[in-house]
Amino acid sequence: MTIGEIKTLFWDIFGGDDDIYPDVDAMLTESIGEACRDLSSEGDSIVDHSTINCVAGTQEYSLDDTGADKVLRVSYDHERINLIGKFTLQQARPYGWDRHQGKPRRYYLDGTNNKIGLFEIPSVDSVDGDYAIGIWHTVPAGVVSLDSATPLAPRWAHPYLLFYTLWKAYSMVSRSRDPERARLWRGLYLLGKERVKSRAAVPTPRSYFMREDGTEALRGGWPAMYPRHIEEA
Amino acid sequence: MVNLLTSGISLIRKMAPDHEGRWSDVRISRALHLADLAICESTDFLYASSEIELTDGDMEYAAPADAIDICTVEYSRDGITYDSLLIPANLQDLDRMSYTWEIDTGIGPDYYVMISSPGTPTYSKILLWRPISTTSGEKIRINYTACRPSSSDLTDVTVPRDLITRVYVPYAMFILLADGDIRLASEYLDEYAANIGYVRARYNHLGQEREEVLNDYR
Repeated sequence: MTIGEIKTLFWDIFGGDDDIYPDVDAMLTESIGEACRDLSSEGDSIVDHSTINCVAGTQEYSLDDTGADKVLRVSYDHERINLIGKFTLQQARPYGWDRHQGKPRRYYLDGTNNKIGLFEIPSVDSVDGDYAIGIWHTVPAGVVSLDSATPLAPRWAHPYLLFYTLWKAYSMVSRSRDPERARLWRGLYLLGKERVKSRAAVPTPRSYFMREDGTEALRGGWPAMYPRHIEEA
Repeated sequence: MVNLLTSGISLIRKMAPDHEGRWSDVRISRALHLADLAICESTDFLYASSEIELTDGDMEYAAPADAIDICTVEYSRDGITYDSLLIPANLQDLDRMSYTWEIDTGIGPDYYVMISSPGTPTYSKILLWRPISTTSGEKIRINYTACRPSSSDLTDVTVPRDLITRVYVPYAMFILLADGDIRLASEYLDEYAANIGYVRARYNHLGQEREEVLNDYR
């Protein structure tokens, strides 16, 4: 469904229109965006990856351009590197944590300043995607505005965006306030959010075996019974 | 016995004769579409599949836009016969199997990773490992449970008549009456909730014999 279709359904159920309830109409589009962000943030349902080019001698890099919300995995030169707390790093390497150069094996996150730091500090510049930082991260659903746009939520979960807007509309401190209806739509929205979270968490087998060359391989198997039939709580 | 889903419009009008002038066919169709989305997601009864031809060196492919859950991913070396299933994995599994999985290539993928929730616009993808550096017609077939994202998708849809009366009409009635007496509307929602388990049981094709069937083939 598009934003416009969700709005049409909203007015079907809410009754009236934007002329009768201009205050409700003003919050409608933003409310749909809020619902998308709420669904995506708790379920980690939107994942993307970005690349940050490194500069020799530079330890910290901004995450602003990646749009990263939650960092899931980081690699340097296509090999995974492990997370370490910034202060733990300082305690472990008090002499030189911010000076030693080499091949980064660890990364730390500076959430307040939205930065990622490497240890050791890269000693070479990135070239054609090599010697660069690769980040897998969740993406917050962005601001929506156009009625023709499709909300950034699973298409089967678009009704839950409608439920969220109804909940918020009936919760407004205005003449549209109706606590009983607000409770109903809130309950339906929260049930839907749990279903989004359940479907985002894909169960996978965890049994590995050793190949002849010493590498590990994931053993085949489908412990999840498909279709999964997510049951109500 | 199956009927067009749009036959639910006349059933709904019979349920609420007092609302004859209030509800247009378009509005009732919108309510039926919401019902269809809810039923497809709750019961996983709509099966679908999508073929994708692999391209040189590419690891990521767009997942079907109407997917609710990716169930299996099959692989074909010749693009015609599907003779193997890919193993579901996640990024941590790939890290454990190979430090350099991001740049590995091979003769064909053995694993797939679901990126983002199925059905998410733009971001929902299937990651295959290992990708093939030079392809020659290889394909994957994604088998999944689906929904019908657009109300226009319902035009020629048929469903068993008893499903229309058991779940589609009650859910649609809830949506249509929600702008009035909320308690009356909730009664229809309760009826839907009471019947949805029947629909799940009816379309549960797995059964207890799954393990026995798998054991027969091991």
